[in-house]
Amino acid sequence: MDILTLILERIRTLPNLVIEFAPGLFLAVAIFIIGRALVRRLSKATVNASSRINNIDETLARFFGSLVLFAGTLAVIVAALSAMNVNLAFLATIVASLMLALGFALQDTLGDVASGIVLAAFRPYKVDDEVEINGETGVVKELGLFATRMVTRDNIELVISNSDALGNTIKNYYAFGDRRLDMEFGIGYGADIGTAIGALLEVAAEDARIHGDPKPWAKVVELGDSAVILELRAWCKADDHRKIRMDLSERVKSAFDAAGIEIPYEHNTIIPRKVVVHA
Amino acid sequence: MREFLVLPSGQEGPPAFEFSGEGLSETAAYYGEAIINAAIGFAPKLLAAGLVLWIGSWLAGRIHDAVRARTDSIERIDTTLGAFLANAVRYALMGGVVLLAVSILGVEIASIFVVFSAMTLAIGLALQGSMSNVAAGLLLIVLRPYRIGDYVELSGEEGHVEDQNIFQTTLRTLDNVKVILTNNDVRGATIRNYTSLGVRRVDIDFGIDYGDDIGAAMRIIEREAAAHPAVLDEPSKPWTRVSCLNDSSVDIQMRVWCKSADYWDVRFDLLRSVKEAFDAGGISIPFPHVVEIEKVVAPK
Repeated sequence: MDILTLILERIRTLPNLVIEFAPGLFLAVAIFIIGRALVRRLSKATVNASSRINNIDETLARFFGSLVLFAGTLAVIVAALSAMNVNLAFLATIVASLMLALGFALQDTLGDVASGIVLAAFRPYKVDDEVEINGETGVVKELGLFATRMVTRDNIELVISNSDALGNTIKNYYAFGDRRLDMEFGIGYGADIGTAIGALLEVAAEDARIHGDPKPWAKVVELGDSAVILELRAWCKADDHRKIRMDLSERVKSAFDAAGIEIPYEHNTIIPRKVVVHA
Repeated sequence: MREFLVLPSGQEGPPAFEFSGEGLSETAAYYGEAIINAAIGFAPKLLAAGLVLWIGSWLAGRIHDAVRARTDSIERIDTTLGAFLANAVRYALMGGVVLLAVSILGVEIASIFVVFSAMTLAIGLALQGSMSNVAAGLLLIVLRPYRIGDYVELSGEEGHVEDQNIFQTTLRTLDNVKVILTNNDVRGATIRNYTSLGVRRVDIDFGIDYGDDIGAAMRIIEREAAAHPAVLDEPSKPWTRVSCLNDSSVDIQMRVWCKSADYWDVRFDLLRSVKEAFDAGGISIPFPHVVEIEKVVAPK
């Protein structure tokens, strides 16, 4: 048999080869088209379902959706390839090592995303809450996938990674709605404690932002070096807390002046003593 | 997958293809039969996989409920932990069921396993920090160093315990701030529980003048302490001693016992009543003293 006949024979049987592989190819394409449509719908359903949970905002819902889309498409491609009888073992090894490498490289970033998901699930703070995270105080403006954005009262923007937020103590000043305002005032040892407490409670009662229930409270909390220290505790809305604090000092000063209660300077008892020095 | 494509009976392979009407129809007939055979061969597997999936998910649901019921009946395990355990069991079972179904369909699982384990590792790396919190959370839930409502100091923050879950512990401070601590921080630092032992001792130092009568001052303090309704005689009665000869005062320490919940009331009430009783009884609380020395040169 000369070489020409051999080539001609091969060319003649080429359609057979195509036909032999056709069913597998057809099955693979069918799996891919149907699978992809299914995965798309699943991803959309995930977005809808997760955005209906009120802990999860739109960014996160979309993220979950694309996560499902990615994983689903991967599964569909694997199924289609295996329908074509492609040996997947080598592909799997490549994908696995790629994932591991990516996992190491993106460890911190992925950690931020994971922390973002945990934060979204447990919701220790929400937008517009005043919080202290990792020692920084501010009003939360945005809960992102990677970081939380806050603005301080003096208008500095803080971006705190979600890992830092989740990994440290979080203080939420707005979470319970109401706050207790604690302020200390020192009065002279000679002043009448009852009168001073009465004046403090009156100042508190005059402020409409201070709640009547629980009632404002004032007591001696310390016998200081130069002053008897009184503390006023009043309940108010969390948002009014810092405003009332700034208003109250001046009013208490006027009330103490009117009631004749001394706010003492630092006291020292000076004992004069003469020592004779021989020249 | 190809094993479902059962060859039509008695034929070794597809007929040699010929470019003629007869050849075409022969080929079409061959593949028609092949597809029908494949469908017949594949249907039972599809059915079996569907059945496995259905029964498996039902079983996983039942086991989930059983675990839930079991954990609910054990007092030491709270609802959060119970739900977490039950869900963990359910998802692990469902993962196995899905893999089983897929393998029945003839998909090569080994390759999926490799990818899956790599994914687990990558996710594990990402969740490293949170996972150690979960471990600490489980420890705290089982060991219970404090209960919900206890007044505690955790990792330097004081407050009533508001909530404990597997990731974090929540406190409510006395001025109503929500403090959320990671379980790692809580477990890794000293836990100070002010409530668990039931009673507390209130210690206050009162400074009196060096010229005052120490015995009289002690009697006043003990009288005021005994008069307070929340002060207890057990484990011991109010106690006073001179604790320090200080720079400008003789310090008398008062120690009284009360219920943990009454601690601050007793402390604040006694500060005021002792001060007022000192005023009435002629005992003074001195300001800091400074001796001003004037040097005088002696005449020769």
